[in-house]
Amino acid sequence: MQPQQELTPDHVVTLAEHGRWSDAARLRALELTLVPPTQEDWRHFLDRVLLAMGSLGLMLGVIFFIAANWSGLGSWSKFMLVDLGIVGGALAAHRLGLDRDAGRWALTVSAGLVGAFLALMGQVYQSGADPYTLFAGWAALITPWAVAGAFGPLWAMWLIVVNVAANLYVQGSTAACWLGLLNGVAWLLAEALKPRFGWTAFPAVLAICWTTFAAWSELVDFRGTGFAVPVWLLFTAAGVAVSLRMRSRAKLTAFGLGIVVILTTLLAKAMDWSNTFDFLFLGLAVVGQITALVQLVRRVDEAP
Amino acid sequence: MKLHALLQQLHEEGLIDNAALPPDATGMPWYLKVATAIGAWIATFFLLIFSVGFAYSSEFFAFVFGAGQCSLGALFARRQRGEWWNQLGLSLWLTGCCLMVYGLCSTLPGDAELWASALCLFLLSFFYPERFGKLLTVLLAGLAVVGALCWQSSVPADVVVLLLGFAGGYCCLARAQLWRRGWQTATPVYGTGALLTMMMVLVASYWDWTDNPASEASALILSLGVLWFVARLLQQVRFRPLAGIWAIVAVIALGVVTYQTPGIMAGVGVLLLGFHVRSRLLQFLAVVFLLVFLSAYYYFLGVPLLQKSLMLFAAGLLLLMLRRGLRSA
Repeated sequence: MQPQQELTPDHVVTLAEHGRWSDAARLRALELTLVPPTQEDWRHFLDRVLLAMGSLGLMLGVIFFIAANWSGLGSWSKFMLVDLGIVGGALAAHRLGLDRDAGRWALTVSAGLVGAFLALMGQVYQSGADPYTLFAGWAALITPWAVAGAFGPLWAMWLIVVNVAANLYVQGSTAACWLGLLNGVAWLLAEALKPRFGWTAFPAVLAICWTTFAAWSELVDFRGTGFAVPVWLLFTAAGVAVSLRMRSRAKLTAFGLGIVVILTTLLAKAMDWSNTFDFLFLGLAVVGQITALVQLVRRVDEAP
Repeated sequence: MKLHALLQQLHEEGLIDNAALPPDATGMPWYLKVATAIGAWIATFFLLIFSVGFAYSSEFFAFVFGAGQCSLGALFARRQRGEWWNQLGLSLWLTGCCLMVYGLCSTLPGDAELWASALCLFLLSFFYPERFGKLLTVLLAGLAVVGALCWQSSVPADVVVLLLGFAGGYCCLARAQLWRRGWQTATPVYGTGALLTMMMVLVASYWDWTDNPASEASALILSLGVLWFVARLLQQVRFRPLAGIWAIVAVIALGVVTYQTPGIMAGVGVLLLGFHVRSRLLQFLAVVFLLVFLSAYYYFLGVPLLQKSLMLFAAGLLLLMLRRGLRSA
C-alpha cells in the first residue's frame, strides 16, 4: 500500500490484522472507508471517462461510416471525409493544447484516422503493395504526432501498428523473436525518454510475451529458429537487471512469469510422460516456482 | 479515503498508537495476484490430469477424491503458513472442485449437467477461507453458466442477465450493510463474479453462441438499471439540477442509441458500479468488455453498417456533450 492510495475495506482488514488494531479501531476504519466517492471524485472520474469514450465513439463512427459507404461513395468523397476527420482532430488538438487530455485525445483520434486514410488509398487505387506497407506507412506518418503528444494511448496505438507491420513483413519462424527484440528496443527508449515515450510497461510486456513465445515455440519444436532460446535468455537477464535497478516489481513479475513458462516447458520435455506422477511433479513444480517468484518480488523495495 | 489520512484520523481519535504504516501491511499488488492466478490454474491443469488418472473410471471416487483435495486445500489456505502452502492450497482446491463437479454432475441428465456444475461450484466457494480462491471458484461457476446457456439450455439469456445484474448490483450498492453484517466477501467476490458472468453471457449472446441470446429486453433492463443508479447517485452526491438533467437525458439517449447492443449499457453500468465501490478490477473489466462489445459490434449483422456508424458517432458526440454539460453545470 502507498500513503496516497485510495483504500477499500479489504485494505482495512489487512491493516487491522498486521497492526493488531482493536475492534473499535477496525470498525471506525471500516466506517471511514465505506463512504462512497464524493461529488468531486465523481466529477473527476466522469470527466476522464466521458472524454475517452466520446473520442472512441467518434473515431469508430467515422471508421464504420467509411466501411459502410465505400462502394457507394466516389473516391473524392471518401478521401474528403477522412481528411476532414484528420484535419479536424489535429486542429482541435492544436486549439485545446497538448498539455490537456482533450487535446491529446483529439490527436490520438487523428492518428487513428490516418490508418483509415491509408486503407482507403489501398482500396481505391489497388496498388498491389504488400499489406505491411500500409501499417509501416501509418506508423511512420504518425510518429511526429506521437512524439509531440507524449501520450500513453497514442504511443500504445503506434506500437501496435509497428508490431503489425513488423509481423506482416517478417513472417515465418523468426517473426516472434524479431518482434520481441523490436519491443525490447521500444521499452528501452520508453525508459530512457520517460515520460515522453508513453507507458513503459506496454512495450516491456509485449517484448516479454514475444520472446517467451519464440523460445517456447522452439522448445516444443513448432518453429526451430535455433536462436530464440539464447535471445530469450539474454533479453530476460538484461530485463531483470534493468527492472531490479529501477525497482519495478510489476516488470519483475512479468519476467518471472516468462521464466516459469520456459522452465516448466523444459521440465515437461525432460519427462517421458509414461508415469502419471510426472503430472503431479509438474503441478508441484509450478506451485514452487510461483511461490519463489512472489517471495523474491516482495523483497524488492518498490521505487517511489 | 487515502491511507495516510485514515491513519492520521485514527491516531487523532486515539484509536491507534501512531500513524505509521504497520509493518508487512502492504498486501499483495494486483500483478502478483494475476501471477498467482495464472500459476494456480497451470498447476491445477497438471494436478487435474494426475487426479483423472486415478479417478476417471468412477464418478463416485472422483467426487470423494475431489472432496479430499478441497478439504486439504482449504486447510492449507486457512493455516496461512506461507506462500508455498497458500499456492498449493489454491491449486488443490481448484483441482478438487473440478473433480467434485465431474463426479457429481456426470450422473445427471445432459441438460442439467452444466447448471448443476455452476450451482455446485457456487456453493463450494463458501467453504474456501481466502478471498482470491473464492473469486476463482465463482468465476469457474460463471464459465459453467455460460457453457450451460451455449450448449445445454433453452433458458433465455435475458433472464440470466437480469438475475446476475440484480445480484451484482445489490452486492455493490449494499456494500456497507453487507460489511456490517459480516459478509465482507459479498461485494469483492460474489458481486464481481455476478457482474463478470453477466458480461460473459452478453459476449456469448453477441456472437450467437447461445440458443436464446440476449435481446432488446436486456438492453431495456440494463438501461433502466443504469438510469436508476444515476438518479440515486444524483440524489446522494447532490449534483446541481442542470447537471442532473444532462445526465438523465444522456443515459436515456445512450440507451436508445445502443438498444440493440445490451453489452454497451452493461459495460457502462459496471464501470459506474466499479467506481462507486472503488474496485479497480471492476473498472478494468468494464473497459475491456466495452472494447470487446464495440469490436464485436462491427460484425453484428442485425443492424446495417451505416446505421451502426451513425449510432456510434451519435453516442460519441453525446458523451462529449454530456462532459461539457457536467463541466458547465
